[in-house]
Amino acid sequence: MKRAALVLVAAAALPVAAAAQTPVDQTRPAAADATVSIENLAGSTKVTGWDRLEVRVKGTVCSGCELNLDGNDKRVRVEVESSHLNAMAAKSDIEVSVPAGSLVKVEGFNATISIAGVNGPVRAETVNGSITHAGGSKDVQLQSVNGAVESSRAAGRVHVEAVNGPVTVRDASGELEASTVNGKLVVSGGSFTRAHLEAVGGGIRFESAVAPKGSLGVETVSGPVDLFFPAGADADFTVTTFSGSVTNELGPAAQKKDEFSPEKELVFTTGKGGTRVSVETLSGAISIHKKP
Amino acid sequence: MTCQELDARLDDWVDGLLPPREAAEVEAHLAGCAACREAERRLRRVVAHAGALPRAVTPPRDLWPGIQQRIAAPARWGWLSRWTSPLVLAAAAVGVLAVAAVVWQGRQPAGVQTAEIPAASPAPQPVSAEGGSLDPELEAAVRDYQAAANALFAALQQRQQSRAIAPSDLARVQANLLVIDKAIAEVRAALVRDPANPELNRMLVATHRKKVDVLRRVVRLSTAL
Repeated sequence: MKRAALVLVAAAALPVAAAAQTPVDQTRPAAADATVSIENLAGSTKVTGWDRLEVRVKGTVCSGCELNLDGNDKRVRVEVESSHLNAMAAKSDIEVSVPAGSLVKVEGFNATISIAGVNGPVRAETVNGSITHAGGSKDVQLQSVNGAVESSRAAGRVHVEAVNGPVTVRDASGELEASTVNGKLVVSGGSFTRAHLEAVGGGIRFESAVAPKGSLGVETVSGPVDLFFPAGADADFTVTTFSGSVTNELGPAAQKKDEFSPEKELVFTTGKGGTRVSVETLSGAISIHKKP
Repeated sequence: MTCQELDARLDDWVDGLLPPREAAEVEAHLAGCAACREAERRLRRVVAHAGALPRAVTPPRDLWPGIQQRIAAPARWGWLSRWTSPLVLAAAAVGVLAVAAVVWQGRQPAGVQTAEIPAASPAPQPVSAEGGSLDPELEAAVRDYQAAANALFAALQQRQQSRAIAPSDLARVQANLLVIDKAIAEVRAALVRDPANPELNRMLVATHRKKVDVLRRVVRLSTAL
């Protein structure tokens, strides 16, 4: 009986909650290379690049929240301002269309962020929530604490970082910096002139290509490392682990550095060498696989 | 350099993290662009608030050069040396001050009393207590990072007490910090076995640095609430 009453109360409250969301739809002019700063701390922010010289914000903001869209055509500011003491209890969901060449900066706290079709630099940061980016931006920085971070088809400088979430980079090219504390870091497809991957307890899996004379650096504390290279790839490998294991399908086995320390080292070259690959862990297992 | 390119580098410029060539380009652009100078001025104003910061927040000292000199090992672990470069340590100091300043001064909700940052909890015992020995300067650096982490975490707790962030959010942050603490413990344990290992020494500092970085980010984003 008590449960039934609770269900009734909850059902009665639902339409009120839904009605509390306020629809918004605002537009202002913006230059093709405008800087668009977006702050929506709770809810979701979806950014899409388009071919119009204006910024449009559509969606719903929470009761007690207000959408501010101001600035000038070179610098546009989008802010969901909350009057709630706990701003994260009230969520707003907005879709922001920006000139494709804009520099886009997005900040959230309990918010998911997605960005697509933007060719200018992209910066996105949240604490609890995922960040998804797709497109050919030449300069990408994505950072989340609790949440997945995913970037695909970026071509230039890519910096992706999470603390307790997976990091995935697909079909990217250029220079990559990627790190996670406890999530899994996976890089697949594409080709890099320089890639640097770090983790603390999370594992790292690298299945992309590295350009000739390029470099790949991988470091973890305790997370396992799995690298995939074609047999005969032209690369120079340097692998070090303090107490982890090393498995190598491309060449010799690792050796202990000296009899008094558990530290192991493996240095070898495949093909003609040239691409520099270095891997270091404290206790994480290192596996170098032959790419099928 | 365009205004957009400058915007993308402004944070690093103000933090002093840009390489010399890029810094020169930023400087040249700022000299001829009033709008960008205004954007820079606004950003610097936030950092300048640090001057009136509560005294308990002590930034990490720039100790790494001395430690590095003593260890005198080849810079094989590039990521670690990058994390612990003097510039980054200096930037960390500015960052800790800046975010704390914003937390304590800038955005206190009406009616909420400003509180002093609690004193940092005691730093972890040096490795020497477990049979090994750390370089004294390294121990000092670790203590400074620990103090900075404690101060930043206290700032977050204060945000929670003032209901700006939920207890569950703070719990999530704590869970993440525990992962880093576990890694720190693991590195320290390895240092007991091999106290002179330069890579382990750098890794210890770098992992502490990572913890401070995470806290800085969460505190900074939470101040916007």
